[in-house]
Amino acid sequence: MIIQEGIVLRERLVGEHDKFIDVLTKNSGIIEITAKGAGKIGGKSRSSAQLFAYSKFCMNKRGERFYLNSAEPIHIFYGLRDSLQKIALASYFSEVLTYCIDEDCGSEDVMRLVLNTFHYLENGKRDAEMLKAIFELRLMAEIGFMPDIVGCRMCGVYEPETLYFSEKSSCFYCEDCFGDAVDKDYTKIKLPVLSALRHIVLADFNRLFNFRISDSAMLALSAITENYLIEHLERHFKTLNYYKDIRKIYE
Amino acid sequence: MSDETLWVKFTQSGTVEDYLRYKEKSDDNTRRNRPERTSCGRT
Repeated sequence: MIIQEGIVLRERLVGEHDKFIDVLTKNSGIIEITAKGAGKIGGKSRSSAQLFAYSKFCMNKRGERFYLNSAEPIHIFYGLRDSLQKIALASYFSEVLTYCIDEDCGSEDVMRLVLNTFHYLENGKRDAEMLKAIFELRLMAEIGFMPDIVGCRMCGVYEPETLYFSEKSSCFYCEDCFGDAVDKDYTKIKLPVLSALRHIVLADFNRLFNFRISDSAMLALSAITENYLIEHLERHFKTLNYYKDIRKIYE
Repeated sequence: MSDETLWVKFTQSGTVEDYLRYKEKSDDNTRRNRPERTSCGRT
């Protein structure tokens, strides 16, 4: 019997009563669990195996597959269903995670990031665009795509007023050195955006969600983190397009 | 300890015990912030 806490990121109905669920766990990455009876009305694990539920799962492993024995819900992120915008963003996070995290890869920090992001998205204490930016960039840093944002790549200056950031090369140049750069595929940003990028990548989890930035800087930050993720994962996400469509309607 | 601090602690450990500590505090705050019920004319 294996006991693990995890968040359900995706569910697929099989037949009338059964489900396959993809669960992000702390020690084993994302695992697929066969949950018999979880789709049945009144089924004992129906609530703990629903989408975005953080639960304690007791499983049996037969061959390569996990079979759900029983489950106990810890926190069901029910508030994510308050609005289309929240559910669309949470679905985007889930799609990204199921794409990047494999089975058997320890993901304690990723799990912490997801729990915190869902928590702030659920209670609405942080702006959705801010959560999107934090999630995208911190996740990339956690899985090995940390950008080099300590100083200008050429002269090493730490706080230039204006700078040019490249999602492709994961680095930036100050205004003086930019003329010598070979690759011209750069985004011009200001110092507050760089400070936010540094905070997201380097801050401790206790302080990760505690920063403020102007609305215009937030838009620039969100665009950069999104492009950074797409550039390095080399694919587009349908749920992201859906989230953007929904956001347009709400604006 | 605030409920936010307890939530951070819970995300670190991920355990039910820490979650229950957070939930207890969070429910306390919700109860405290809820407006008093108005009486229905009875004194």
